Amino acid sequence: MIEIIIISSIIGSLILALIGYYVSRLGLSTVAFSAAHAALAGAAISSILNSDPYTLPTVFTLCLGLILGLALPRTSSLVLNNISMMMFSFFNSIALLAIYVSNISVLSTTRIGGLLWGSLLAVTVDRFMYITVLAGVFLSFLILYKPKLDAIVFDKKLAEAEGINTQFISMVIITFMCIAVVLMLEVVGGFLVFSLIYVPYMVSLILSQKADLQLVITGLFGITITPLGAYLSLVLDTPIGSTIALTISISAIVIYIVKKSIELTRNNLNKR
Amino acid sequence: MGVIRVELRNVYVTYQDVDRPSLKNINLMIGECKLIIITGPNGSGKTTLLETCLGLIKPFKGIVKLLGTPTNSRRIYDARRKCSYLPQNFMRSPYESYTVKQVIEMGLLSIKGSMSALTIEDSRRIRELAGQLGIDDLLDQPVGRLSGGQQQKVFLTRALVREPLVLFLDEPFSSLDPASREHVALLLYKYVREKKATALIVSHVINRELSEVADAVITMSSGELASITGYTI
Repeated sequence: MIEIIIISSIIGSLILALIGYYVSRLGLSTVAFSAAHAALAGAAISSILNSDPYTLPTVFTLCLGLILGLALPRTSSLVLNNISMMMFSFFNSIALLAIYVSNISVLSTTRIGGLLWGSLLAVTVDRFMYITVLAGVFLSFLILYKPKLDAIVFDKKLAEAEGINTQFISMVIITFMCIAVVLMLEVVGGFLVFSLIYVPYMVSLILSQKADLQLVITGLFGITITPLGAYLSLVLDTPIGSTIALTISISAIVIYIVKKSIELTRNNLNKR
Repeated sequence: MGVIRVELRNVYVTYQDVDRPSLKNINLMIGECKLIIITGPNGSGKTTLLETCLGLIKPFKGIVKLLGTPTNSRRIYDARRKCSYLPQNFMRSPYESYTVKQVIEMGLLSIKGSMSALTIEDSRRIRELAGQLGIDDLLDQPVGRLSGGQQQKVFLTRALVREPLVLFLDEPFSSLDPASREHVALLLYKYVREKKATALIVSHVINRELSEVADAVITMSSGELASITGYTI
């Protein structure tokens, strides 16, 4: 079981980190935020209905992805991010309302706890298999479409003018993100899953100024620090989502301080 | 006139929530082997005209064809692959992490499909064009660290390396020094003549270098074609 938890966290964090790199560079950071809460709303309703944890969260996030994906070519990223944050509030309200109307004692159940702040028990064999399949499909997509993705990330309008179907590729990336968020939601928790999306990319910005190296750092940070967080959660018997989010946030802060200290020392040595 | 590369018939364009059309009753046919300058004051519709020709903006009335393909057709992506575009707002932030070489190679991707499809000949052509524009020693630099003029040359290299049938260049001289302007104007003229290409160049100022190489000058005013001088269209 421990092996499955660690491997799931490695694969899941790799996909979310790589997707996070492209979503952030496309200027769609808030989409991950609203997707997580759409999945949370779906999962909250499924827990009340006692249905499977995948169908409703997937339907909710894909609906959100479809709305934002269709709006994407018709509006600026500023407006899109505002629509996304509106959807975040909408789905968050549904999630909290669903939890409230079901039964107040349900808040103490493992299922709801897992939705909000993650649970080790959510790492089942079937979830592990879904994450692995998604990773395979996503990495294949990345190998095939990385050059076009880079062109879109660099300048979407120019890429469109040069004959790349930017809407299709952006929609695919949003869809991958929605599915990855659904699969990792109950592991890390609805309030913390986006830390796996944003923090690795931020660390890559601290460590490198070259695009390809940033992508590698994003992936490496995700696959090393997330399982470390999962492992610490097992050892310390703390909630998995909070422990992972805290581990990656502290690691990012430490990396930033170390980088700045090295730069400062180097500058002082050069002045002498 | 030979092959018609760009065709606009009775075209009207308007932006969302704006009552006044940005383009009004535009009728234009541009053939091969022509270098056309589009000029006019700020807000006269020059950039809108260029983006309408590429299909980035759809007209609410009229027909626009690029290389014989209507811009509202799904096949427009195929037509665009045979064109190049240099946007007016090309400046990248100092944090832009793609290198000059990567940015230029991106121009070949929509044609080639994947990075692995780039040939030695492609690399040679990139180096040669970058050399002609004086940026060959910057190929491994992140593009965000370059000056405005150097970045404009990167985008020009990207546009030319695709060997397009139609070049759409929006203010391609805006950040260049006088010597570079003359050099680029000549380079574009040679390209159009040698490849039998078409170039539509938006420039709000027509300097000596440009007027010497242009086949026609289209002047726009308030979204309309105010005058066309030179080549009969």
